[in-house]
Amino acid sequence: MKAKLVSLLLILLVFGGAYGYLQLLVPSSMNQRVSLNTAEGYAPFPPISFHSADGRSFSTQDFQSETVLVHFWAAWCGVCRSELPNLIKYVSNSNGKIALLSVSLDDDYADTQKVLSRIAEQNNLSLQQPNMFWAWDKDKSISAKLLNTIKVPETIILNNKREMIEKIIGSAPWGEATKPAM
Amino acid sequence: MHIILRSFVLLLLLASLPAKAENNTQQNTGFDYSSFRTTPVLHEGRVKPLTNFARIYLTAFYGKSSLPDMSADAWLAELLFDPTKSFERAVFNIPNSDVAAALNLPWRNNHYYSYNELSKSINAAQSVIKAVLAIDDAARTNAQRQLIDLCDKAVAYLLISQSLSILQPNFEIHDPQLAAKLHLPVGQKLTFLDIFPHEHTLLDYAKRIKNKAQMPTNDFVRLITDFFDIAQQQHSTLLRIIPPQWPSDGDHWYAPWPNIMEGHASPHSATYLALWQKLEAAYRVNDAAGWKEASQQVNTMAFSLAGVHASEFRQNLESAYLQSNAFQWALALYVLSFISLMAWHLGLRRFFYQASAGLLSGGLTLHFIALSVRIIIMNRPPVATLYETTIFVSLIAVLLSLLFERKRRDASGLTVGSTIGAVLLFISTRYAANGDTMEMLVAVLNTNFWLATHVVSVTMGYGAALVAGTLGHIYLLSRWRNPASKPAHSTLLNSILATALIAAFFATLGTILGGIWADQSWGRFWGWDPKENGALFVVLWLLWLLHGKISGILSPLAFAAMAVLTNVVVALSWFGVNLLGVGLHSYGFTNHIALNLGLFCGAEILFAIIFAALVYARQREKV
Repeated sequence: MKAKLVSLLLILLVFGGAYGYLQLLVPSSMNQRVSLNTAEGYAPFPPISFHSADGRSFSTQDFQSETVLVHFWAAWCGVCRSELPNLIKYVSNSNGKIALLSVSLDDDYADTQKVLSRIAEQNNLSLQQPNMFWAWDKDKSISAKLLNTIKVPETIILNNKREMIEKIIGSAPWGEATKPAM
Repeated sequence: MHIILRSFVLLLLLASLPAKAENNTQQNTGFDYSSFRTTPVLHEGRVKPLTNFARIYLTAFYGKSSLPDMSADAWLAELLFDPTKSFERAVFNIPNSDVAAALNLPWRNNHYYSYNELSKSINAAQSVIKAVLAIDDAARTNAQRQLIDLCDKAVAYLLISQSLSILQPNFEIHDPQLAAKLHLPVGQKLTFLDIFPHEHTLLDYAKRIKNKAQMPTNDFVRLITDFFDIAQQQHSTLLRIIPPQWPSDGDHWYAPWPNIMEGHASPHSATYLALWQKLEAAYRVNDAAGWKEASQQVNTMAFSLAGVHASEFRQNLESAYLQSNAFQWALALYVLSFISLMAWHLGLRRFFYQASAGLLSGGLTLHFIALSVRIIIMNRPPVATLYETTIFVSLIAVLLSLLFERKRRDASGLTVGSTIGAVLLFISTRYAANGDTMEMLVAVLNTNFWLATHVVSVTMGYGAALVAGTLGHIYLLSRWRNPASKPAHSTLLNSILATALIAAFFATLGTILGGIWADQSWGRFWGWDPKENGALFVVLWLLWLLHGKISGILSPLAFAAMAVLTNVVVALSWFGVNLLGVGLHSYGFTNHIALNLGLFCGAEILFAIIFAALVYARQREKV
């Protein structure tokens, strides 16, 4: 009888041990990984060189602001057109804390230019500010190839280390009361 | 709603064309699938290696987890990267001739049909299928149910084949004017991902043609037709290989189509999918070295991308576990142990006794290792589904039997161990036939502490009770064949008593722990739920049996005969209550075992009555 009890205790010990080992195992298998959404930190935005229609190059590192919004849009997209004035106002009113890297996905930059001029005129906004850059992804080599972004509008929010902290799919209200998580 | 959904997927199936990927006429031989198979994918709520995903679906379509000439991994790679070829492969198992007849398919002895045959037949039999869909699920005949199930499987097959079509080079533009308008290169292979960002310009172009401002070229017509055909494939969401990338994604993994089309992509997921493109390119040109390199890169990047969402160690372990078929090997060893023991019983040399003991111990070791690995993979005790309890109970029973054999050395332990081990592991293969999906649990069960205590305890009780029951058989047989060997009978009786005591202890402990868990989860200790009554039935039966024996009310013969019936009691409360289909313990329900269970119970009762009567009659003769 003693031997039986010992054997049974052994079974319990083995299973209990295996279970305890697993509880130890869980955290150890969850480290040393680059991930975008863990306490280990956010993943950096890749060093991509954006270009304006007139051929100037720019990267997110060139901004001095704390936060950078990498915003994708197109002139043919109605939602983008109604979102853009609020976004420009929001960035303008941030006293340089927030920068805007706007990336147009139009096939023809004349369409982009037309919409931007109209927005600036109707809302009395200045588009040429040190914390703004107006890029054109002519052949979609950045948006589609490097970022798999093909739907607009979309905004990637970068922190002061130029790490990606969130992505806004679709439009956002961009007002004082509705600041996105920055 | 259900019918609408079904009709929708069916229409999707009918409307879709086979993927336009170029046919690779070469056989992709010599490919190393080791990295491909351990790449993580989210399926049925759990991150698993691709090999498990492949096996589950191949088992669903084909009935087995591998094809005669290719592994599940190779089959999945072909379906993803060379669907045209895969659509010709006979992988759909239609075992019912009525279903084949309903679809006008020629009846084949091997029952296997290709996707192309099946989709053509489904197209032709639309009216039949729609009529069946209109019937309420409960009112459908078996063949009708199988027909709808087959249609669902065909849809799943198609959806998996389209998983990567957003990245596949299905387009080419030859018209320089059109190419310039779209800012795309002339004469190069292009993907949907290349074309889609220019959709607006493409539609403008179409509008100009409609307004007769421009003449349509063949190139344009082909491009726009293919574009809309492939755009339909965005419903392919089964292959969730992309881990969550953004805080707002939570735990959600994405298939390539929704990842890109719904905006969940990140620069890293883009790099990851580019590696999948590289993998496909290597597959397409049958480049084994390129395939190996790309699959390693895909694998490494997948785990980097997944971070806390996947453990490389567990994925590799699960893949190895699946490759090993360890439970089948354990089953084989148990059967060999039984055969060897029978050889010894028939008077062959003692070597066969030792061989039987060795084989049983070997089987037990393998069984134990496989079960432990399973615990590590699932991160929970292995007692949450009927399949799992079957393998766990058989482990406990074999272990107890071996311990008895070690003490008694009269072959009774070996007989009991090899019989229960072989029978229960064989039954478990029936539950694994639909693919041992190692599925996630319903919320109430997903509490490791209670699973580890209550269910483990109850199932250990079941295991010990089965050993007691099977020892009862041996006692009756032994009394009938060798009425003279009294010491052996009394040893056997003591063994039955000891195992019944162990069984009563664990069953009672487990039932009480279950009540405490129920109090915490459902707010009451006892609710007369069928499973609760079943557990109580086992406890009361064992207590009655033990009291009967200890008080002397039950003679040794009656005690042994009642011990045989313990198997019936355990089977009814373990499997039987699942047939009722009611109650809160609705996680192990199954309706295919009623007949088998009935036969088993009938046979056990007959055995107990006949042999008890035979022994009793002989006893009376002597008196």
